[in-house]
Amino acid sequence: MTIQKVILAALGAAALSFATMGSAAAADGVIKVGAPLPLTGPLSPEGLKQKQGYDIWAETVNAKGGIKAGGDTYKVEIVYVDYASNTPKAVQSADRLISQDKVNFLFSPFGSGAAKAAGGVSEKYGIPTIAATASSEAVYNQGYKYLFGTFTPNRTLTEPLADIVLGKKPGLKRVAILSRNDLFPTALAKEMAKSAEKRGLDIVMSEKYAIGTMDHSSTVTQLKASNPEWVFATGYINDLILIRKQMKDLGVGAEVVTMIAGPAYQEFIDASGPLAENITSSAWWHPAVRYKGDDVFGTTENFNKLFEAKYGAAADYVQASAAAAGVILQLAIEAAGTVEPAKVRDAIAALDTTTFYGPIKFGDTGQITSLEPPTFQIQGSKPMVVYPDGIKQADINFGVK
Amino acid sequence: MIYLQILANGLALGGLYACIAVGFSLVWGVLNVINLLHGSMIVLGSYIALFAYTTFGIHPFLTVPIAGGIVFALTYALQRGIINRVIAAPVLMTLTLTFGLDLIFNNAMLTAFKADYRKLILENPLGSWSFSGVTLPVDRIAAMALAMLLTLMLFRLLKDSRIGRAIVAVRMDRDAAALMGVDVMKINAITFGIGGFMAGAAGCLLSIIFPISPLNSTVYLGKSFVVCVLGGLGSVPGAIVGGLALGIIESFGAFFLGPEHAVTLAFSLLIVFLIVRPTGLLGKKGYE
Amino acid sequence: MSGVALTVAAVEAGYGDVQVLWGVDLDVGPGEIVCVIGSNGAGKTTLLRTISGVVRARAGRIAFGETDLTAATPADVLGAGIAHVPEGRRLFAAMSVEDNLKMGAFLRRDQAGIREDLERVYQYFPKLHERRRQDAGTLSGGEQQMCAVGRGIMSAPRLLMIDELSLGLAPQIVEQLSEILLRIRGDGLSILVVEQDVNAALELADRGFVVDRGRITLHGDTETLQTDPQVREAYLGMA
Repeated sequence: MTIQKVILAALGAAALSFATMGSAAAADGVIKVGAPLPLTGPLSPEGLKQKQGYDIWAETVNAKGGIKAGGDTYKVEIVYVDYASNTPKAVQSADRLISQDKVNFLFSPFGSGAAKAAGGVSEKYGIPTIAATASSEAVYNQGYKYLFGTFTPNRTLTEPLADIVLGKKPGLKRVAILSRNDLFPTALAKEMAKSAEKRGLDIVMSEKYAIGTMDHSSTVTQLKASNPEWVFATGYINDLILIRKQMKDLGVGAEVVTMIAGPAYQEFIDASGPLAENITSSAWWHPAVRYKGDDVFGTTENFNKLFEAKYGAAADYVQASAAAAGVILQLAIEAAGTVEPAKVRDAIAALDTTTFYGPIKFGDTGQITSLEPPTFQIQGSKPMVVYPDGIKQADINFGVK
Repeated sequence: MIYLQILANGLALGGLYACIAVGFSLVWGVLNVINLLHGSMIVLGSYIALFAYTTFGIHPFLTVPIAGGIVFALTYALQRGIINRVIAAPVLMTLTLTFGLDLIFNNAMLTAFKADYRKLILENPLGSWSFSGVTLPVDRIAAMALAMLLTLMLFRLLKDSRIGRAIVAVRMDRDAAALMGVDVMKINAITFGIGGFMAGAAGCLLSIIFPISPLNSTVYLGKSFVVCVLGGLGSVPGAIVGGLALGIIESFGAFFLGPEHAVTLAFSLLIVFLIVRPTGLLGKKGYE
Repeated sequence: MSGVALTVAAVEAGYGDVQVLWGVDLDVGPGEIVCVIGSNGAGKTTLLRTISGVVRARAGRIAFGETDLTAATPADVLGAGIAHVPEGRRLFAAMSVEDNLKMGAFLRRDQAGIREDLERVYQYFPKLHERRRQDAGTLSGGEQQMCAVGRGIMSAPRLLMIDELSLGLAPQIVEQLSEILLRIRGDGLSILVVEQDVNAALELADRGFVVDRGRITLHGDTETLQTDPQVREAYLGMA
C-alpha cells in the first residue's frame, strides 16, 4: 500500500468516526449515563453513597420496563469510572465518558469542587448533566446551560439553623467557624459567617484547615482558646470524625456543635459513638420528609422501603439526591419525548413538579430552588429532625462536652 | 497558657515524627540509599496493627514487635534480593529503584486494602490528662513514649553492640570494614531491615492516632525528609532533634499562620536548611 | 612460636584489564619479620590485597600453613589468622579508638579473649589507652598508625601484614613503631611489612623481597640486601 493510500484510508476512517460522534445514538435501546465517582480514597464513603442512589434508581426503572420516550423504550445503564478522590482525574474521567464511552447523559462527580471543574466538560460537548452533591452557588455561576443541581444553595442550610439556635438561646454570642480548605466547605463557612453577622453574633475564630490534614491539634487548641458557645465545622466525613475526636481529647465543648457534612451518615454515628450526641447538622433531605409525586418511586415512604430492602439501612440525603438525579433525568426525557441532548436539557429546565425527594424546580443558573432543607440533631445515636415544623421529630438540645 | 498547650502538642507530635523518621535517616545516612518505600512501610505497619486488633483483639502497642518483625523480614529480603545489586551505584539509581518498588508496593496495598480511610478505634479509649492548663490525650502520650523508647533502643544498639558497630563501620569505610571480616552485603541488608523494623513499629504506634490508608505514605515520607534535613542524617540523636523541632514548628506555625499553611511552612524550612545548614542541626563529621 | 608459614607461589593479579602482579613468589616463616620494598606502582599494595582476599588471584597459589587461601574472601583470610593493616590506616574516623579496636575483633566470639587482647594492645600502645574514648579521626598520624596496628592485633592473628607503616610519619615515630613491632614479634606474631622507606624496612626486618613491575627481582636476608649494590643504587641512593 502506498503512503497516499494509507493516509486516505486513515482520513476516511476519521471522517466516518466524526460523523457518528455527534449523537451518541441510543440506537440499541439503551440510555447510557456516565458517573465518575470517588469510589476509593478519602471521599469514598460519599462516592459509594452516590453510587447506591444511582443504582437503586436504575434498577427500579428497568424493573418497570425502562424509560419511555417518543414511542421507544430504553433501558438505563450507568457507566462508572473511579477517579480515586482526585479532582483533576474526575475531570478527565468525565471527558473520557463522553468522548470515548459515548454516554448520553452525565451525573457529576462528588462535591462542589469536582462538579464545578467537570461542568466545563459537559458544556463543551452539550451533554445534560445533573450534579447530585453540589450545593455551592459558585458551581452554577459559570453560565453553563447544561449543568443542573439537586442541592439548594448553602445559605438554606445555615439560615434556618441560626433561627432555631437563637430562638431558643437568644443570649448566645460567640461563634467559631472551622472549614476545610475546599470549595463546598469554605462556601458553606462563608454563608455561616453571613448568617452570624446578620444576627449580631461575634465570630471568635475563623480558620481553614488543609485538605488531607491528619492532625488537628493546633486548630482545636485555638478553638479551645477562643472559648466559643457555638462551634460550626465544615468538611467531609473523615475530617469531621477526626475533629470531633480531637475536640474530646483536648477537652473542648460548647453549647452547640454543628458539623456539615457528616453527621447525617450512619458511618459518622458509628465511628464517633457517644461523641456524636447532640451534634447538629443540616441536609437537603431526610428520610422523615413526606412527599408524593409522579416519579418512579411515587412517595418518600416507598423510596425508603425499596432502599432499605436493597441495602439493609435507611438512606441519607446523598443517596436520595443521587436517586433524585436519575428521577429528574427520567421525567425530563419522558416530557421531551426524545433522548436528543438539547431537547432533554430544555425539558429539565422547564420541570415544575414533585417527587419523592421534594418539589423540583430549577432557577436560572440550573440550581434547584424549590427545596426546604431539614435541620437535625443526633439524639440517642439517631438523627432527629428539628426543622421544618411540618416534619419535626424532636426539640433541639443544648450542650456538647 | 495557650502557648504551653501548643508546645505540648508539638512535643507529642514531634516524638512521633522522630520515630517515623529514624529508620529512614539511618538507611540514608549509612547505606546512602534514599528509601522511598519508607512511607509505605509505615502504612503497612498500621494495617498490621489494625488487623491484629480487629481480628484478634491485640492492642496495637503489643503488636509493635510483630509489625516491626514482619516489615524487617520484608525489607531485608527486598534489599538482599534486589537493592543490593545496585547498592554501589550513584544515589540517583537507588532512588529510582526504590521509587519504582514503592509504586508497585503502594498500588498493591491500594488493591488489597482499598484507599478508604480506616480508623482503629479502641474499645477502651485512654482518655485525656489535664495539668496546669494543658490537656493531652493519653493515647498520644503513650505512643510518643513508646516511640522514644524504641528510638533510644536503636541508639543503644548502634552504639554498644557488635552489629551496631559494624553498621557504622560500613558507612564510614566499607573496604576497611570488609577487611575486618564484615560481610558488607549482609550488613547492608540488616541495616535496611532495621529501617524497615522502625517503620513498621512506627506505623503500629501511629495506627491509633492517624487514619490508616495507603494514601498517607507520601505524608510520612515527606515528614521523614524534613526531619532528616533539620536534624542531620544517619544519627539517632539527629532524628530526635529533627523530629521534635518539626513538631514544635508545625504546631506554632499552624497557630500563627493558620493550619492550612502548616505543611508549606515545614517544606519552606527544609529548603532554607538545605541552603544554610545542609548537615542539619546536629550534622556529624563522617555522616554527610 | 606457632609454626605456620605463609607461602605465595607464582601469583598473578590485577584490576580489570590491567595486570599488576606477574608471578610473585614470597614466603614468611613463623616468627619472622619480612619486608617488601620497591618503588611506587611496583605492586606492593596489590600483593597484600591479593593475600588478604580483597583482590582475586588469577594464577598461582597462596597458602597459610595447610590452608589454601588462593580463592579466599577477606573473612576467610582473617579467620585463617592473617590480619591486613591497610595503606593509609583506614580507621573509622567518627568512632572512638576503643570501638575501632573492638571492630578488629569483629569475627571473634570469645569475650574473655577479646578483653585480654584489648589490654595487651593498650600495653603496647599506652597512648591509645589515654585516648581510648576519643574519635579516631582526632588522633595524630603516629597515634592513628598505632590504632590501626592495634586493630589488626585484635583479630588474634598469627601473621600481621602492614601496608606502608611509615607513610606520612616523622622518623622518631617510625622508630618507636618499629620497636613495638619487634616486641609484638617477640610475643609470637609474624609480620609482613610493605615499606616505602627502604632504610627503615631493612633495619626492622629479618628478610626482604624487592618488587619491580610486578615481579620479585631480589630477595634474601636484610643484612645482605643492605650491602647489595643494586639495592644501594636503586633504593638507598648510594653508589
